[in-house]
Amino acid sequence: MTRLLEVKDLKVRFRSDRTIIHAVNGISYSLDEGGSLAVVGESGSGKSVGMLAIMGLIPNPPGWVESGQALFKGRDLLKASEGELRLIRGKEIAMVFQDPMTSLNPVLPIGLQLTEAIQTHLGLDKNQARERAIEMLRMVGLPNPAQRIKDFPFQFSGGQRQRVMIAMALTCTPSLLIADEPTTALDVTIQAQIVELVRDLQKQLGMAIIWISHNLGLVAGVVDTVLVMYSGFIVEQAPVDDLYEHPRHPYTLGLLHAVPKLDTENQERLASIDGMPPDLRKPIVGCPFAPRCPYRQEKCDQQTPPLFEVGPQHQSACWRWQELSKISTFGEPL
Amino acid sequence: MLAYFIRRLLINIPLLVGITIIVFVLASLMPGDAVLAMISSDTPVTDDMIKMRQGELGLDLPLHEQYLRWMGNIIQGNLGYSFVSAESVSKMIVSRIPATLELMGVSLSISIILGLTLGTISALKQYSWMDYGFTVFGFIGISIPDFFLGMVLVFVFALKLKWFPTSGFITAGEEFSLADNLRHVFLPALALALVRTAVFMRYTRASVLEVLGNDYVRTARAKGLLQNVIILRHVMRNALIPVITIIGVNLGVLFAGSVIIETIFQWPGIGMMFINAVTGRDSPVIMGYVLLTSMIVLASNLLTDLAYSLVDPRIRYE
Repeated sequence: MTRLLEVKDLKVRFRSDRTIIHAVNGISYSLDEGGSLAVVGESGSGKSVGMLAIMGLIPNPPGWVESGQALFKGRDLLKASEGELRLIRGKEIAMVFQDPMTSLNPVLPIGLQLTEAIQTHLGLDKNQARERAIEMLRMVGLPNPAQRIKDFPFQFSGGQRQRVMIAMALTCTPSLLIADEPTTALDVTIQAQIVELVRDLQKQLGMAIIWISHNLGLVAGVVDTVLVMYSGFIVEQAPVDDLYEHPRHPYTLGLLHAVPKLDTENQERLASIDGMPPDLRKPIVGCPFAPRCPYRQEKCDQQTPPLFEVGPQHQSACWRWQELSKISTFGEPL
Repeated sequence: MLAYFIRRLLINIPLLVGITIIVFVLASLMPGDAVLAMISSDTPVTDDMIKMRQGELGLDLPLHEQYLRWMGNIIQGNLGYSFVSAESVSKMIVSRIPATLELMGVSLSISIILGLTLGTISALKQYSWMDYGFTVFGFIGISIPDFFLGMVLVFVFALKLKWFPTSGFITAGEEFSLADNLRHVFLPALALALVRTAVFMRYTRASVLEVLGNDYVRTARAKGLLQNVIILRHVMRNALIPVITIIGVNLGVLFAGSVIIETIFQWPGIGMMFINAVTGRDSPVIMGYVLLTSMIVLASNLLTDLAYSLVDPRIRYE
């Protein structure tokens, strides 16, 4: 397989009230053509910002890319000019955002919002673009696309709007789709439909996908590789099954432990990880997870752990990854 | 939609009746007397002569009867006759309104074009020297009274530089020509436009900044659209919605504000007619003018609502 995207040591900073927020702190990962990757982490872990950065969509001011490389088909996106990026955005890399209620322009008919990208990138005329838009809407399962193309976003339900957003992202058949929590704002049943839809479309169109989510359960069935982020660091990266079965980082363990299960006999209180994520206004010394980690040692406070190779394609940033194989639940003594 | 606007028009009728009562009472409370204002202090007059003239004008009747007579005429489309010139008030208004509308139109166009453009630039280049420059200009614009600005403009551009005429509608003694007329309208229109340019600019800046932070602008950028398309189609369309209200409110203010500017520039519009009427205690003309102004304010509110529904598809009046 050919490498589609390779991100190396990406660092993103924001300025806020004379302090600097360390939002993304040197993340590296890669994605093959047609591959799928999930970036999992809690709010503020830098998962969305890391993706917006490679698309050049970080508003500056207040944010900027401090360092790093993002090679897309061999080209460094972080060094590309705005004009070059414009030709890549929407055509090569498309994005579906979290909230379909606010991500569509409320005063423009959806047809126009679809065709403008088609006309910009594919050079089709108005009628051809309209045909293409209808075809895309049909593909994402929107009923009566030819009539509904004239409607405004407020005339659609949340799930329908997200379908429109997906159609919009896929109009130019991008080689990479970044789905930034596309189901968070939707009902659970609709969530499943949208996940299913994106997965089918990925197979159909053969594109690669990066799925940003805070829901480990949701991404389990849709991706090959999972990347766990915590306070701007990648703490663990592994093929999906391996990660669920043999987590090698206490944070991943804690996250898996916090997923509610329907099949447990005794309805126990849902486990949570005590404490709060670190303050990103200060540079992090040592392991970012150390203050909340039950397995903390002196070394953890002083040295930031590198990503250790802990198995085939499996990496963990924990000093005690070897010992962690002995336990299966978070908090269990080593 | 149509039903909504017809209903809105009907609601305005009782509002107008209320306004006529207030206007009438105010005009009667005005110090001074129409008959006395007509009399030159050199000519000797007797009280009988004054009473006779008051009787002719109907000023000796009780106030409510005077009001009912006036209203009765208005319903028949007759705004009364000037005490001073005996001209029909409606004819006076009709002959003078085009000049005022021209002044308003030019002034409003200048302030909308400048205000929206500068406001948008200011927002797009937030915290740049241009933004600060426009902000300072905005404060100056809002702070300078338009009559003072009018006099400064006359002094600089008419008297010193001689680029524009000092006053009037056309050059006296010449045939009407549009170019000549536009040269005359420019300075008064500019004097009226500055305040509103500043106001529109500040509102546009705030509104554009707010819209720029919206998710759909990020979506538009993620689609790889050209910057101009993003700004004009996605940002401006949304940012204009609150600005329209401000423009609507300013229609009425502009109409009233033209009174002083018209006087300074000897612009033969309705404002000058009003000032002459006030000096002459010519209450039919004063009342006609105030009634017209109220109607213009009410109409501009209605127009604002209509403009809203054109810009924002979510607004549908039932």
